[in-house]
Amino acid sequence: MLQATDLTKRYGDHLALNSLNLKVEPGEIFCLLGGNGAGKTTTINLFLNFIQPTSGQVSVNGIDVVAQPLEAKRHIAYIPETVMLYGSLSGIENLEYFTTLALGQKRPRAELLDLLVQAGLAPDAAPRRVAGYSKGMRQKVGIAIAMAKNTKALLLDEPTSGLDPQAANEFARLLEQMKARGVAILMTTHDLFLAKQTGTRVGIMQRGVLAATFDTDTVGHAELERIYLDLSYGKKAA
Amino acid sequence: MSASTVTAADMPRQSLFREAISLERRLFRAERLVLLITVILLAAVAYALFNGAAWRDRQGSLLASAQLEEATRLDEQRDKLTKMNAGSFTPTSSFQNPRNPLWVGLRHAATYAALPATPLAITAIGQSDLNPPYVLVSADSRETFALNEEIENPGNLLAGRFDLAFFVVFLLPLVIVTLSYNLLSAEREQGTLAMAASNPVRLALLLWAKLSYRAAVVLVPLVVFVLAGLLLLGAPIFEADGPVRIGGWLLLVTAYVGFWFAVTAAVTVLGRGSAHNALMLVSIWIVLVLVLPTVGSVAVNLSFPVPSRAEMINSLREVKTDSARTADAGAAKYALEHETDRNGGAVSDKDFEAARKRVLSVQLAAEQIASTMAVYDRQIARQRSTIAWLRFLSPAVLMQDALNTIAGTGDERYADFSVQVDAFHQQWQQYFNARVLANEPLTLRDYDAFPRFVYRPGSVSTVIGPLASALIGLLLPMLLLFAYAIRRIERYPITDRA
Repeated sequence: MLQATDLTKRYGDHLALNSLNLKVEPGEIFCLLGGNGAGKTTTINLFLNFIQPTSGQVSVNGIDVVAQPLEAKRHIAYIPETVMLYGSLSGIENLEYFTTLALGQKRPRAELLDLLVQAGLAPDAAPRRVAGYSKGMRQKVGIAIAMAKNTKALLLDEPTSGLDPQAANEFARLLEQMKARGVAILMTTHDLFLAKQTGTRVGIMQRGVLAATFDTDTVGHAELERIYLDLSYGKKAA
Repeated sequence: MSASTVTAADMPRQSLFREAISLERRLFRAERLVLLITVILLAAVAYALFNGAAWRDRQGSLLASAQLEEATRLDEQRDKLTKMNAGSFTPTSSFQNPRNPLWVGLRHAATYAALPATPLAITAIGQSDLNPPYVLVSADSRETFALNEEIENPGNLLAGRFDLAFFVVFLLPLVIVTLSYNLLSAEREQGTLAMAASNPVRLALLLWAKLSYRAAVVLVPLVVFVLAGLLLLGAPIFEADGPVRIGGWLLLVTAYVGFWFAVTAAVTVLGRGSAHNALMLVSIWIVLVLVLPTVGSVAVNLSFPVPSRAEMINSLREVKTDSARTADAGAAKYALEHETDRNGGAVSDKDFEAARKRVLSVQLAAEQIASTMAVYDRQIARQRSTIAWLRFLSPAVLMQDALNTIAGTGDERYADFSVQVDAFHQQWQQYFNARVLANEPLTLRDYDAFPRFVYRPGSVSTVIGPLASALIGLLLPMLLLFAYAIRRIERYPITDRA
């Protein structure tokens, strides 16, 4: 569903991503771990065609993202680290706008409200202006937007960063549901626990290179932490 | 997950543009921006039209006073002549003699040639603060009216008047820049652009929706307020060529607004931040609206300098003095050659000699005056023809020129008026000078047959021609800028990190 082949991105002399090969199948959650500047967000931005690859290919559902960006985006939903919404609009108005952009037509308000509730937002918060929302509430609107698109692939860029444990737990539960529906999920995160808990596979990136990949059920949490720290920072785990 | 089986891959793309417009409407409403812009436009248009109407009324009042003065003066002469015919009035001097064609043609019957205001005169004061709407034509030489420019407060000339054209040409672009400097950059800086761009929607569509909504927010109230203002202030926009002029005004303003939105689009797609965009747009405004017109004006004045007006007037006085001396000898010669004419003299022989001398003096001076003034006229014509090309460098100059033409306060209309006045002046001189040279006294019937000036307005093409060239001058760069924006927007950086 999501595939990168020899994907390279260079900014001048800086090699942000070096010959990345990656494949995320339907019903799989692939967690990309790595320190800051390892190339995780660059990978997400390449799948979204926000930036152009220097070389290599990136495709969604077999569609070349560079050649057919609009067609590829019909199959992708995206939740960034911080879901940015229009502060002067309400949660449901934001959902309505982004859903219409995604689908090309409006969905009934009742259906949208149902999506917000499924994403964990309290019903009385939906008509309030987003300017007064916490980060967790914004993330829930972002999740509702992604759910409304009902796509086959989901890109998550550190989606639980800054969320309280309960919200992060609810989010993990939603990911499980999507995985069960056969959605291919690529998630960047610093949260080893989340990666181990929800991920099918884990990849550790280091300086633009996918240094290692594991099936999550083949490594324990402590082992994963040790490898992650070793690869990312060159240290042994305590 | 929703029970719906609809997916993004299946859905039609029918209402994206409408939704993007709707978003802009909601964002503007939340910030009360539409109300703010509407109030600004209403205040500016009301003040500008009020100024224009006050100026039109002032000029109309001056013309009415002048025409009343002329009618009173002429009635006095008729009364004198009637009394003279009845033997109850005897003039004490040649100057007071209502039968004397010299002084009647030179002073007592001198007539005002007036340039009527057009239906849209209140929209642009234009050159009307330099060129008076009427001139006093007499049998004297041409320079007595041709150099009769309006004496205006230099402060007003320096600052210009706040009329509708000033608002549209100079200030409206700033309103557009203020509304549009952060079209996409603000969304990128807030992060909402990434949310939008992760969907199957072209950035060009979002940009186009933002531009369209903002253009509507500016244009709709502007047009409504201007039309309402014109009607309220009694501008006869449905009379004569009024509909053509108002249609032209609407097209011009739409094109000018379109041009400035195209500039903001072109700057936007460069992908810089909001502050950078604002600085760049203000710089462009300064260059196009302030610097280029000034540089163009200086270049034209240096290339085709017009003689000093004071020097020229002194020179013309010298010419007239010399001519008067020459005329003394000429008149004596004429008297010898036309000895028999004395017998039918309408006025005394002494007055007759003086009158002939004056006419000869004017005629002798006319040729030299014409050659002196030709230098002035030629340089002015060169300046105008150069400016006609240079104006395409600055949309502000192009727009101001076209708005003046629409309002009937542009150079071309005054030049046409001047040509018609020159022709009328010759007709006037011929009428009176022929009677002076033939020593024919004026009768009451002659008074009724004095030539009258009636301005013949140019055909509608005199408005449509300049309007069309201005529209081309605005629309062509607008289309090029939009084409550039559309071509470049797909490379627009979606995130700051990109």
